[in-house]
Amino acid sequence: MNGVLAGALPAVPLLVALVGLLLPLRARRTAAALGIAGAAVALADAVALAARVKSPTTGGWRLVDFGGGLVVHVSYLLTPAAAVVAVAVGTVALAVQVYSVSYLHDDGRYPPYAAQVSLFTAAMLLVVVSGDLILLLVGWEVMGICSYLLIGHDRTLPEAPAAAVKAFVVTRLGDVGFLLGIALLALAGHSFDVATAGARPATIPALLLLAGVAGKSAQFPLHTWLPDAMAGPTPISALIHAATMVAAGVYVVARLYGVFTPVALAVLGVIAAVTMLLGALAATAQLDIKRVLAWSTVSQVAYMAGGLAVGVPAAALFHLLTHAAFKALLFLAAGAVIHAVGSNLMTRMGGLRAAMPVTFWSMTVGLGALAGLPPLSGFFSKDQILAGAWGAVRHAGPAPRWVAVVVLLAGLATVAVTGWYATRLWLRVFFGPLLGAAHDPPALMGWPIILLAVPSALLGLVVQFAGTFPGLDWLSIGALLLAVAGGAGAWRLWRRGADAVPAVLANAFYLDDVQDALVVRPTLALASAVRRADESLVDGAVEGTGGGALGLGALVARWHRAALPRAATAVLGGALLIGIAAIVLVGLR
Amino acid sequence: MSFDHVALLPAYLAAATAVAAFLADLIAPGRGSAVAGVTAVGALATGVVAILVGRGPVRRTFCSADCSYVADHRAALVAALFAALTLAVVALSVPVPRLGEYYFLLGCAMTGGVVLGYAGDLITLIVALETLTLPLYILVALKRGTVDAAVTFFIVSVVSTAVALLGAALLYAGTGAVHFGRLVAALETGHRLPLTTAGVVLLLAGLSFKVAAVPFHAWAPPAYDGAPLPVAAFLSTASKLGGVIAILYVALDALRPAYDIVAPTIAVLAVLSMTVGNLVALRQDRMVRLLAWSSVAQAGYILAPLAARVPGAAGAAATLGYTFLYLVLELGAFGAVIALRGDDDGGAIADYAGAVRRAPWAAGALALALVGLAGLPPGLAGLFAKVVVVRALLATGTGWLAVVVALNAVLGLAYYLRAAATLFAPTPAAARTRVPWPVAAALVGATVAAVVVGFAPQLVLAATQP
Amino acid sequence: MTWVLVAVLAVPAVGAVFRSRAVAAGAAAIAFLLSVALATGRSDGGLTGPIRPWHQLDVSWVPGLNLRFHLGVDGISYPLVVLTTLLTLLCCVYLLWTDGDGTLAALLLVIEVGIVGVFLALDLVLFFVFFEIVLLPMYAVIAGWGGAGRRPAARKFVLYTLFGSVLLLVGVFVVVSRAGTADLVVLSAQHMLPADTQLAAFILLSIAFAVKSPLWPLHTWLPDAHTEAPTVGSVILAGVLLKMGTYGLLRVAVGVLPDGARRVAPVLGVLAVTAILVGGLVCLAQTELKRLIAYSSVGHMGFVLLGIATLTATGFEAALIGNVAHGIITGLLFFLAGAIKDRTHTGDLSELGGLRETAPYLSGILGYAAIASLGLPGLAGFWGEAFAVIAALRRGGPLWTVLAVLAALGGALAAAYFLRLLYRVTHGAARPAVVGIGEPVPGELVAWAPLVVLALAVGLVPALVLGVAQTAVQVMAP
Repeated sequence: MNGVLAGALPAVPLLVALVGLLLPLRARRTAAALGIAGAAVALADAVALAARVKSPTTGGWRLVDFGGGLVVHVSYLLTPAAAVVAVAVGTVALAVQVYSVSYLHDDGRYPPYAAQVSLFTAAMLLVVVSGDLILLLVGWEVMGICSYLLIGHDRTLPEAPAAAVKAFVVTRLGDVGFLLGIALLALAGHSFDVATAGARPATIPALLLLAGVAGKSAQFPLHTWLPDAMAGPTPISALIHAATMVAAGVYVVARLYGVFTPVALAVLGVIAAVTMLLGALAATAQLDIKRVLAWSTVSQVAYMAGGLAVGVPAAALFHLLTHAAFKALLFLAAGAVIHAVGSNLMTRMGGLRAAMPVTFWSMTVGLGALAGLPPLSGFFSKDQILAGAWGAVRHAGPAPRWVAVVVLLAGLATVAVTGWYATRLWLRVFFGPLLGAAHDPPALMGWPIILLAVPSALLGLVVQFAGTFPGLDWLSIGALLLAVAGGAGAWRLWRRGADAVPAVLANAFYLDDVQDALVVRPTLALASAVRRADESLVDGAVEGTGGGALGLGALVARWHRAALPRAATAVLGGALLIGIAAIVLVGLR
Repeated sequence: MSFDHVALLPAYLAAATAVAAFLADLIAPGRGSAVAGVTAVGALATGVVAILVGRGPVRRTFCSADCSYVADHRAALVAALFAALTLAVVALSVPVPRLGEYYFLLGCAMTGGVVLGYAGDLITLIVALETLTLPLYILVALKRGTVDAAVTFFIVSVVSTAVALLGAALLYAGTGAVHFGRLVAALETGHRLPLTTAGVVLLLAGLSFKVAAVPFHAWAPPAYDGAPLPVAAFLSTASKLGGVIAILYVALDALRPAYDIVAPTIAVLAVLSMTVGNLVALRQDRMVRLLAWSSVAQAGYILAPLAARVPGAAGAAATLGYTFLYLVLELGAFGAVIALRGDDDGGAIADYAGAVRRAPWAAGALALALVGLAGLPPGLAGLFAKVVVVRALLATGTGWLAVVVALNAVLGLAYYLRAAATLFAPTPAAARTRVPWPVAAALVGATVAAVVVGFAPQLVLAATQP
Repeated sequence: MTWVLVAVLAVPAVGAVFRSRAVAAGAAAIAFLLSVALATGRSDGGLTGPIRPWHQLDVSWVPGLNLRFHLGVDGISYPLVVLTTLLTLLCCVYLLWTDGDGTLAALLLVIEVGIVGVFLALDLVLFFVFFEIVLLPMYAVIAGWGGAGRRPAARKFVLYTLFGSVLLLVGVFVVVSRAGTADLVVLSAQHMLPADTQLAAFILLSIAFAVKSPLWPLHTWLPDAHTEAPTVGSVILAGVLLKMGTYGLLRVAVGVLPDGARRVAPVLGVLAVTAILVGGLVCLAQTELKRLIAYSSVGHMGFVLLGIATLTATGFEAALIGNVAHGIITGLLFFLAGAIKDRTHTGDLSELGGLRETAPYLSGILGYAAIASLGLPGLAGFWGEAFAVIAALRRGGPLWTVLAVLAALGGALAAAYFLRLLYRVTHGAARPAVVGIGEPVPGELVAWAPLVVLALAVGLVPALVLGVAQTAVQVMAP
């Protein structure tokens, strides 16, 4: 039964997606119904699994044998963690499907959109349940292509196609490492089995896997695609940021945790520390509401990575779940705001508190959770990561102690910055003078927001009272104070009507330009050079051979235009020369 | 001295054919087709009798210490080939009224060819070869305005014959022998003088004129282009066959012990021929010149198997096999050119554009022949011809020459394909060309032969096995 | 079942004679069904060598040339035979539905005979003969029905590939004259040639197959040929003709000359990876639709050749499935590129753009094909490329590890250039060239649909291809 449920988890949305892709463009209602049904079935399935699975179970069958023990299986590996993550994925997917019906009500190409969301869901669920590394890679990369398709969905945004390409190419670059890492793991263990391969510590494969993780989870230095990906429709941002793409990286590290040696975890910790600060700082200086949220994702996912680095994967997954809830909530609510205002820019927003009460309260819950205010979910999950880091500082975790110190310091600093940008967003959107008429979204958009507000608010409490994690200590209070201090700073600035937007932060330390200068432009220049070389040298040699033969032919033909006496002399002379040559040669022998 | 008249019968018949043609022209002047008929019957009879004689035991005549006339299996094959080629050329010649002596001269040339096959000593060989060639000077000059070509042909030919005779004389001086068997014996036992070496090389050089091997090829393109088309066909088939047979006999029968000189000489000739022939053919824009230069290159392929370090039956068989397949294809090509263009002039290659609409079958046959000469399917005969040569070379460890042959095949395809593709070039619809029946018959014969040996090359390979 | 081996060659050969589209489509359909039927009644016939044909036919043809008419099918050749007959059928159907030319359809059948013959031949000389059969019909297809620059492109194709096949001829007879037999079954079972001969023959053969595959730097005939060829010509050329090279390398060069292969393999590996990178980079700077797809073929075949060069079972399986996947996907891509060029009369990427605005379905299928071609897991292209990389890693050692890393990076390049292609062709505002162009017509859809389905099916169930090949590969490479 578990096998059927595990198989159905990705299979149902996949089938829905395949059917949806074949629908005619007009079949909007069918597509919407299919998409919602697919996500609902997946969610129900995930809930059932979460209730049933108490210990790791596995199963599957052989797909293909590539020799040398490299047998690919269609297999699942169910753990309680996997089931819970699947629930989160299902929930967000369902919310997104429902929300999109209304959000994209005038979109002419709804069926492929809904199908691609289903495919995205299927791919993520495949990553979640897969018991085989190759199968995991399939889901991993299909997510990438879905993000490409969906980010580029909006035909009116001129920057959308380029953002879509960037998203896929950057993550694909990381996936080069991911593939190599998987290959090395499999070759060392003669198996693609997640459980087997994931239990063998190995530094180099782990570092290679991290490249893929950094790409998918938008960690430094492969984070550059995520802010641009805001060109996609808002529900897609919710999907990518909350439950699928970026969560996948963290999830896979947790799932293959046994592979990560101290060295690999140290690298992960440094990446996490850099990324969480970088993301949070960049978020303080954005004017586009979605970009604020995007940078906050970069930063929050880095928390999870930090948790993994200091040896508390359970806390990281906890934060993954709470983040899934509140980030989905924030994006969907932001979508409602954008829907109402008609712009992404916070300069066009303000005073929406009264006009959009549902959105306001939901967003307040979401931002509170993001900033880590008790008793909202983010408070607890973030706290567990910080506590884990502190524990690693004191007792030494799997990673070196200095890594825990770095993660802890960066985490605490980020708490303050997060408080700052969350408050800034809250104030700029909902307070101050009202800039125009606005109203709460229609029911199909409103309900998903309200529903997501529930776990955003309560998930932390529930888990905490379930007693899975240790209680609170002075660190929690310190972090809370930092968050409040950050918020207060933002409030003071806002009161003065000032908004510091340092260019270096707004441009996220110009890392995009660095990437452009160091990778993109050299590659393109190399491409042109190679093309020219291929055409003029390699092909030139071929054409030259042909031309040379023709030229030689002409030359030899010219020798033959001699008049008769010379021709006769030539024959005689030729014969004599050959004769003499033969005599000399034979004589010499 | 007794003569074996049975062995001589093919030679008698060939000579009789020439005489009959001459007489027929005297008796019925202006009746070209009757004369042609007489010649054709004579050629046919010669061929049939040659084969019949060849099926019996080996016969020898004109013997002193050794025999000058050997009627063996191979000789019969050669004689039959010459007869068949003559028959085909007669058929190709019929549609246009000829001067009376035309068929007589063809008959004479055939006689030379037939006797060549039976030659057992150098003198017979050279005389037969000259008998084969002499009438051609006149035949080439038959077309108005082509005396230049004929004179070049004549002069270069005389020079070459002189070279060959000089070589034979030097050999005689060195060994005291002209008979093949005795030459072998003398060369094997006696001390070899530098003079002998020179003799070997000069003899081969003189003979290679007949196959139009480079550097003794300059006569061929103007002569082919200047001659009436059937004569050009004869030049590129029968005359070349004569040269090949002469070189084959000399190299393998007479000079076997001196193969260390023969092989490199032939290798040089072969490489030069195929390379120069192909290169110059690339630049030709007249059909017959293209065929002429290509036949220079083909001479290179033909000679190549003889350049193996060790003299062997395999090399001889490969040369004979290739020659046979080449003759079939070359005859098909000239037959198709005549069918498309009439007798007089091959014309520019560009004139053949769209020929496939005017005469689909003839153009198809031409395309098949050209592609076959290039050595590619659907011209399977040509493909197997190349295979025969390369295989023989590799079997005897002459791999480098195999690579040269192979690369030259690429050069060859470049121009054969250009000519063949022109046939299919789109043009406005044109009137169908009518093809006279004898030409059609010859063309069909050659094409069918090409197709048959393409699918069953074993027929040729078995016939040329020693 | 022996008669099927003959029939699968004879039916298209006879069908070609009629020069009619309908007859061609019928013959191609029969040939396809016959080729599929070859998988029935499989047995290894008690053979123990590396080649254990399920069915074989062995009659003497030209003993004087060691040529026997020896045909057989096994797990390595079977998928390629079916791919060939399928693509030919689709091309014939496409011609039937879109007012194609009867002679063109007949030429496709002749090409089919040659290619299927190559895959079925178990005699080296016969292999060579079939190898040559393909040349001129393909030349005629390009020169007769191609684009503006068709003549030079066709000449280059035929001369360049003839250059390859004459070396094949020499190589074949180096082997045959030393071994005394041309029987592939015997030759691959007993490696009776001395090491130096193996090396020489392997170099000759691998140059020959490298031209056909094509392997950098012997690839430059391919872009020209593809750009100028008519749609069906490109489909056959990329879909199956190139496979003669990789199949030959695997079955003949590596199978018969393992010692030579071992010594040359590193060079082949380096060239294969160079092909992947050069192909990818050139695509990134390419401005012509069909040229771009052609260069992408250079890259993809680089993966196949890398798989073979590793000389491991993993690599061979990767090469096999890579071959088939490339045939399916690139066949589809060329169908699509042809459809676009026929409609817009341009292949210049700067003149195309906004296809998804004017022809969303066409654009969607193009997107699908491009994504399949960039090696997305779950679609057919993935297996060959990923496992070529894994096979190179499996070889181990610094050289092969570096090659694996570079090849994997080449895979990322494929993503970059294919998405750039989609970006230029399908996204943005509709350019004048794509305004008013039609969506796919039924004939096109019928020809494309099987490829679309197969790209997904092989991606999800690679055993469709490798299931039959596994035994054959694993007895070949320990």
